[in-house]
Amino acid sequence: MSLFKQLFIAVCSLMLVSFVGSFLISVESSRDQQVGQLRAHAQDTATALGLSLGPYARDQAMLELMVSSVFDSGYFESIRLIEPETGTVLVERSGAPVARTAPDWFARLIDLEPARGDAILSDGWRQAARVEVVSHPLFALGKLWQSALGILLWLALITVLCIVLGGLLLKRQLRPLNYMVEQSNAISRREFLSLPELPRTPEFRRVVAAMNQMVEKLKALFAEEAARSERLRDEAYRDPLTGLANRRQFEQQLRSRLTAEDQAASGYLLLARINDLAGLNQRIGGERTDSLICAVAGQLRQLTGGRYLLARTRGGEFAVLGTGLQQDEACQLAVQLEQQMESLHQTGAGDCWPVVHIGLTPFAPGDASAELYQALDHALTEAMAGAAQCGWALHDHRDSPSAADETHYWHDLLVTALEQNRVQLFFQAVVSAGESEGILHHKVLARLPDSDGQLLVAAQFLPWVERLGLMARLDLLMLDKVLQHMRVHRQPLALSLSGHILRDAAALESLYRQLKLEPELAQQLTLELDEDDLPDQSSVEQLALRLRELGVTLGLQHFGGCFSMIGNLAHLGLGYLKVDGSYLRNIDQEGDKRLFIESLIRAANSIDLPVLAERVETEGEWQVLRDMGMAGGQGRLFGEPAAWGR
Amino acid sequence: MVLALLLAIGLAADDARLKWDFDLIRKQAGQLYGASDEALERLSAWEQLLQAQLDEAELEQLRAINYFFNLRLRFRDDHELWLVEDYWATPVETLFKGGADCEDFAIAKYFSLRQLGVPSDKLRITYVKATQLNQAHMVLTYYEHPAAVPLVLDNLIDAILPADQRSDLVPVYAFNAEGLWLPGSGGGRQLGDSKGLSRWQDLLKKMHAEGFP
Repeated sequence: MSLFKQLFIAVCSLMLVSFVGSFLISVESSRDQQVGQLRAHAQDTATALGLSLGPYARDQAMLELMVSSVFDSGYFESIRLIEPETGTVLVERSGAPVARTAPDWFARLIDLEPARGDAILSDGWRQAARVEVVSHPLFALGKLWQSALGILLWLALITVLCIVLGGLLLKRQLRPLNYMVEQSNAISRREFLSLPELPRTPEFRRVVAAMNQMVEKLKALFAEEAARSERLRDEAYRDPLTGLANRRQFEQQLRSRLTAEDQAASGYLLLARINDLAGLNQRIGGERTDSLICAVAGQLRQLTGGRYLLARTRGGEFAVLGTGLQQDEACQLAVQLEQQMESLHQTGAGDCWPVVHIGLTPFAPGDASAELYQALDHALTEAMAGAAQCGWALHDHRDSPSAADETHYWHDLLVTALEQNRVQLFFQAVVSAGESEGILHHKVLARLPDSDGQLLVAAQFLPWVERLGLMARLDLLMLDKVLQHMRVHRQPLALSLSGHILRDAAALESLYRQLKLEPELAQQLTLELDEDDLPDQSSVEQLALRLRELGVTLGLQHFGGCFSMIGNLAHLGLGYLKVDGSYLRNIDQEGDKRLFIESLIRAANSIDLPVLAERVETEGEWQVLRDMGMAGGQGRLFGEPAAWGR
Repeated sequence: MVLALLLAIGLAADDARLKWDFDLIRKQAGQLYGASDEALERLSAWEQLLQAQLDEAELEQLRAINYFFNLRLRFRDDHELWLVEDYWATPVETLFKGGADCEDFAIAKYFSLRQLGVPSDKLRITYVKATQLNQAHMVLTYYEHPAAVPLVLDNLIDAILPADQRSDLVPVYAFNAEGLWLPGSGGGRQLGDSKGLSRWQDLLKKMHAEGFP
């Protein structure tokens, strides 16, 4: 029972006890008073009758008349004149008055005895009769009933007033308690809130202060662990000189683009190699060469504006993972880079021209990375040979159809598929790392039949969906299909949301609407966001808030340890983090990958956030990941994506 | 058996009611009013009278009691005695003062006769008008049976005469003290039927303070 209810009941019962007590006391005391008055009334009447009947003691008619007139004018049960010697009744008037002033049950409860009075009626010296008067308690009952009603009303009024005032006061006093409850609930949802304003009640103040302190400590602990994890990540995956990604990171990401189910993308690779690095080193010294490298890195960063992954893959070699780039855009990028390099050359940073050679090659899911490197080498060789009269060259290792034809093909295919609702759902189990290895939820993946009826994996059509600006539509369609599926199969599912829908207010609203219609299904649904594709911090926080109201869990997938990018992770109340598979590949053999992952798990654990592994492929990896404290995993090891029930 | 036991207890209670402890009365009344030798002598005489008359016939008891108070007490006004308009004195107060108003005579005689065992049914205190004096007066009347012409115990004359021979008195109102005479504070059976006569109640209270049971 809630504290409020308990106090409420206490107040009520206290009032009830005091009410009954004072009611009884007051009724009892006024009852005594009424009985006394009744008695006096009876006796006074008897005496007065005895005195006034004296002269008419022998006149029966007169006696009857006088007795009647007294009886009729007052509240009497009976008036009798009795012959003293024989006991015969000379005159009698009796009968209860008709008017009722109190209910019968009250009369029975109070049980007033009629009061008697008597006197002697003398005829000269002789005792002619005894006058007996019995007062009727009706009048007294009426008085008692009225005073009881008055007391009842007054105490009821007081009770109501006490309850109302007490209730208001309680509500006011217990407000911090409500907040504390909310705070604890939030903590259990992995949201770490602290109350900025301490309540005035000292007890609550101490508790809230303690909770705040705990929350702050947890947050500090988390921040510390997260920072350490990021540092370890940088050590493993960043080039210390330029701050760009290192070769390992680049290769991991490239592989993801080429092979991973839902991270696949096509685009252009750009490789920029500094002209004659060894010579430069000898001529201008290591330090100036380093500064040249940093300058080139800076120019690249400025040019790409954070849209594409930049990596320093070798001493004087930079790679750009131009996801989603078209051929003309890629060429444009190369031209721009060359111009930048020219200005760099003019400042005298490098002594040879061109400062860098640039090679370009397209990539698409399914390509082998060795082939791509070969193509890039080829392009670079062309550029160095100066065949194109400029510092850059493009080499396509495939005979690709013309861009226009391809766009046309995909546009037709995708628009029809979306309109005709031809997307199919595939599911991949996410398995718990616990002893039982139960299924935590199923990850939903999209499949699309092509013109020949072959099912295309997401990696094949997603780049085109994105390029054609259909992502938000696809997301909504997928959500619709997922909800339809859940109506039949009530099992927890996880569905990816693209960054596009989050930036499209109208689409987002219709997503909320859809979820609102199915509150029960929403409880079992997790929506996943990409770490690479996160909108700004406030949008994420708003999304988290709206989804929580709808009962939907929010998760983060393809997580690469960028705690700082997510901002206030401790406020979001996430359901889990799914670590990008590229960081886990061969973790059982590449021991140096473990340090970062361990620290990532530790940071997440400090705010009780479960960490799941993506793309687990071998038993060895799974063993190591479980030992490190992963809460679960998904990947080929546990089964390929398949239609439901297969 | 149980009935007999209850009856015995009832009788015992009745006897106890009749028992007056004069030593206690002397002591308490002495403290209250300041006893003079004369007063104590009158009190002792009353005690002896009550003892002596205990087993006499009722008419003899009437005569003795009437005679005792008429002889021993001088008639004096309440004005003179108590400095108030009207005062009902207890028998002990009256004996201590040695003087009495008409109602004091009646009261003292009433309590004495009740103590001697005369039933209250037979005794009435009666308001009368003394025609010769043209004055309000009070006497004790004794009814042999309810319808009888009563005997009048008056302080104006020593003789006890039937009322029809007392043409100098006009009766106005008679009351009995039945239910009022409740010695002790305990279980008088007519407690609930007490008359509205507050003066009679005051009298009983005063007597209780004097040491009457």
